[in-house]
Amino acid sequence: MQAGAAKRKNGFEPLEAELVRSLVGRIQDILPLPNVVNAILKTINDPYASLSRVSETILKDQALTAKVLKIINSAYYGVSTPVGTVSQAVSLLGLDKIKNLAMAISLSEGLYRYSGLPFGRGALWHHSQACGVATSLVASAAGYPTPEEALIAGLIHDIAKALWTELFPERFLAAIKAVQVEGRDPLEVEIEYLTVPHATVGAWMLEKWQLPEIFQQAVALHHEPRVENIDSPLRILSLSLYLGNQMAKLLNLGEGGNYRLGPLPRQLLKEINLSREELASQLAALPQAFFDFVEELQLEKAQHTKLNTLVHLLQEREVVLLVEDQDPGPGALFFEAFAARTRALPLKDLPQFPGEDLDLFFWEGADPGEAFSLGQQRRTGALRGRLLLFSHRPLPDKGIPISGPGVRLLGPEWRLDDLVKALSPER
Amino acid sequence: MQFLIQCGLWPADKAEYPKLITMPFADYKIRTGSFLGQSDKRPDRGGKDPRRYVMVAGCTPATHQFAATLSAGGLQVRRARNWTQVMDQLDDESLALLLLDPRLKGMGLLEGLRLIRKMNPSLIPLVLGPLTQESQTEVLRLVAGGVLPADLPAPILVDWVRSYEQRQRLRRENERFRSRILESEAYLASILDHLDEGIITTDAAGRVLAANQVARNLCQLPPGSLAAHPLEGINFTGDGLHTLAETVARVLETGFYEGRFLLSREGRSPFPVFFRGSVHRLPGGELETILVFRDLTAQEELELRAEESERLVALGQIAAGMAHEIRNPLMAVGGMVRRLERLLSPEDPGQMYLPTIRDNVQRMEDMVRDIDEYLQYVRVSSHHFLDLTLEHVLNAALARLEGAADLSALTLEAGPFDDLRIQGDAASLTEMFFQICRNSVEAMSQGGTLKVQIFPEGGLAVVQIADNGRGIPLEDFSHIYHPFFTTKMTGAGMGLTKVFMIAQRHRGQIEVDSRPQQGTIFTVRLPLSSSQ
Repeated sequence: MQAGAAKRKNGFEPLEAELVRSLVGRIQDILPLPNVVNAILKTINDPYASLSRVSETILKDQALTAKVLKIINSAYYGVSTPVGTVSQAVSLLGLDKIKNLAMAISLSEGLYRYSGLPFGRGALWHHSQACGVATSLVASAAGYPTPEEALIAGLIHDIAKALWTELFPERFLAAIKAVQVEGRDPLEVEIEYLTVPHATVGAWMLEKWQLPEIFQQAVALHHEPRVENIDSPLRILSLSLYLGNQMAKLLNLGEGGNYRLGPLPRQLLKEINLSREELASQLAALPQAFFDFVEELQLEKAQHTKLNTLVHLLQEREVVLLVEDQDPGPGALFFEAFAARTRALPLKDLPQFPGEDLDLFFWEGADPGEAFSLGQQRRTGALRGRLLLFSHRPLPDKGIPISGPGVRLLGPEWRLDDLVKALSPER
Repeated sequence: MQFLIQCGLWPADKAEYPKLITMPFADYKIRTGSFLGQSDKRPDRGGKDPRRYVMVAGCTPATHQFAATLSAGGLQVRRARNWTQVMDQLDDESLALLLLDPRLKGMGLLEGLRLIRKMNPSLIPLVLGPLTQESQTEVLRLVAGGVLPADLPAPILVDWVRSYEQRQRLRRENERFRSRILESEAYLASILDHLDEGIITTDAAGRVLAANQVARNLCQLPPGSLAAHPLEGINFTGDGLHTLAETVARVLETGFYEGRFLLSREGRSPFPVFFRGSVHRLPGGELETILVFRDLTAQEELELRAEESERLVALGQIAAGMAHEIRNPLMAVGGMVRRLERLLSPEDPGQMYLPTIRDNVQRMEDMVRDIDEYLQYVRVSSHHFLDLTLEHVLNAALARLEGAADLSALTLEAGPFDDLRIQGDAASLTEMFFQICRNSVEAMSQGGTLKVQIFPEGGLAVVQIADNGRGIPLEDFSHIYHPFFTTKMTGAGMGLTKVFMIAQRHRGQIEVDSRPQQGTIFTVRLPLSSSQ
């Protein structure tokens, strides 16, 4: 093509922001929001929304009606006599559950139906479910009045990626590769390949769908929870969404395109009145809550065998978290949730730390060089334990090679596969 | 070569263009639709829109040149500078054709073409060439429209674009008509398949053209296509005719023919159908027949049942009338017998006849009382029906049964009962179930199990009363409901007559299934109360 001369180095014609905006304007032709979603949303904050109104809403959607009846008559609920009407189903399940059910079914059938590409069928939908469940756990713990809203915010936070899959599959796939293979920064890559970041496109989509503004803003902020000058409910919701997304990534439940972890500054937890311990206990509760959610709504099951293996590997071990002067990182939260014990150790004290064979040291940060050399110093003294170095940034090719007996270098993607390998006995 | 040009593949040698293009398109007759941007004198029902335009998207000198040429050729032309402007106008009804510069800004050409296909599949874009061989293949795969050479002579270009647009429009219209025809065919077929009647059409030789599902079932036609399937081997008797083929011949002969026939097919005894055949003359003059069948089995059964029930009602009325007439004379006879007993001396030889007379009078009095009781239940007006729980009625009947019969040798399996509600008169219904149960108990003089169960079934409450007694002999089966029919020494034989009449007053149905020496099952179906 002659136009090749104008191309950028990534091989794609530059995408104009104006065009993206214009395409989002036609969202109802491309990715129409099922009517049920808005109808159900209206009942959430309405104390007068009766069971019958919810069942009416469901009845308007034939496919949904059939699905609800199939679910209530499934083995999970074990009802003795077959349930034949939606109103019976609604009164058996309760208002909250039926809303979640209707929402999850409509979203999965309507919006995530095709979003198998480009990373494994259903992975984005599983990530969204996990994020939804995690967000509602965090939001409840933080005292958010309507955790269902948090669930929904989680279910739709990455909706822009479903749109990209529909509109620009090649670009999106190339962008994912650039992050996963080349180790580049996700936001930077999104801007380069797709011009407008997914958080922004998602917020535009919700605006076009006329979803409540609080969802639009929470989705817009879900990668950069700037909390200053934001009123309280939105602050809690958007921070919960940020944390819920990190939690879903920490457990590798589903996939949103990458497993990059964002920072967990102390200030952020203070903003929603959660301690690190509370957040860790929510993370520990997430696998079961996610499993229950999937079971209850009879959604397609996601595999998370790696998580089970890791939980098993960690359940009797103590993990020493190596901290520098900054806040503990997001990876440490994983060990705080699943290891038998954790203790913090200033990095500089590592060489003097007396240890045993089973000790596990975890460091995370931008440059593992110092932690590595301190670990080597300790090794020359007492060769014991294992040191995990998780780097949030890709390492430059040059520089000292970081490897040695008992040292494992991980990152920048937080993959449970890698962790399992790093924790398995050395050959 | 013609085909290749239509696909947008132009020959490399430009000298070939005029020859190749002008010739075929000059022959192209347009019957409907309108010329792009040019007024059309003929009336056009397809909705001629003079605002229809060609969009030329691109900023290069070549696209400017294209736009200018088309404009000068009398076409309506609009410009778009980038993909955003193209996308914004994609829904415009008047947009007839899209000419795209491959270097259009906003996104990649292939991405844009794919989006156009997704959002407005009926719009076919053309790309301005030249392209590399590789991307030309990809573009054609995506849009199937075509790639225009950049240096096409102006008159050819205008002509080509114009006729191309018309061709696209005709194609689209054809597709619309086709899908409309398919839709209405499917609609008609689904209506035909949901009729109660079987419908077959045949040609003048009596070969099947089409048949709906009911007709296929009735006449045991093979599944799949029926093209020219002969109507052989279908026994169809009535009015001196014996096969369906004969009947069709009669239809063709007379133009219209109907009647009741017996249709027989393998594995089933002949059953009655109503048949109507008529001849339909096609515009070309050929004849077709339209044959309509209706299975009369259910209808005739209903008629029989109605007849039976009418007869029973009549019999009941006669019985009631007779009872009324007998009552007074009987009382006189009874009174006189008692007086005779007192008047005659104990030694009088006449005394020996008196006990027999008295007993028989007593029996007749019982009978009259039974009939009176029967009338009492039959006359309960449905205005006085109340909302009842079936369970209560059944429990009352079973309680009465325990008082009236010795159940010690029997096993009673009754309840727990579902909560089913019906409309009715409690006393009548209790009597009805009591009578059925008593019959069953009496049929099990050697012991057995009486089983009572209820369940809902499509808007009806079903009560099943089953025994494993001696069963009803086949010869008695047809008159168990008749008044005065009894196999016992006592009673007037009004028990099951009462049952029948009470069920009928409650808009119910009774079915009896009985096997000698195995037992009898009474099934009573009553409408469920609408409040449920």
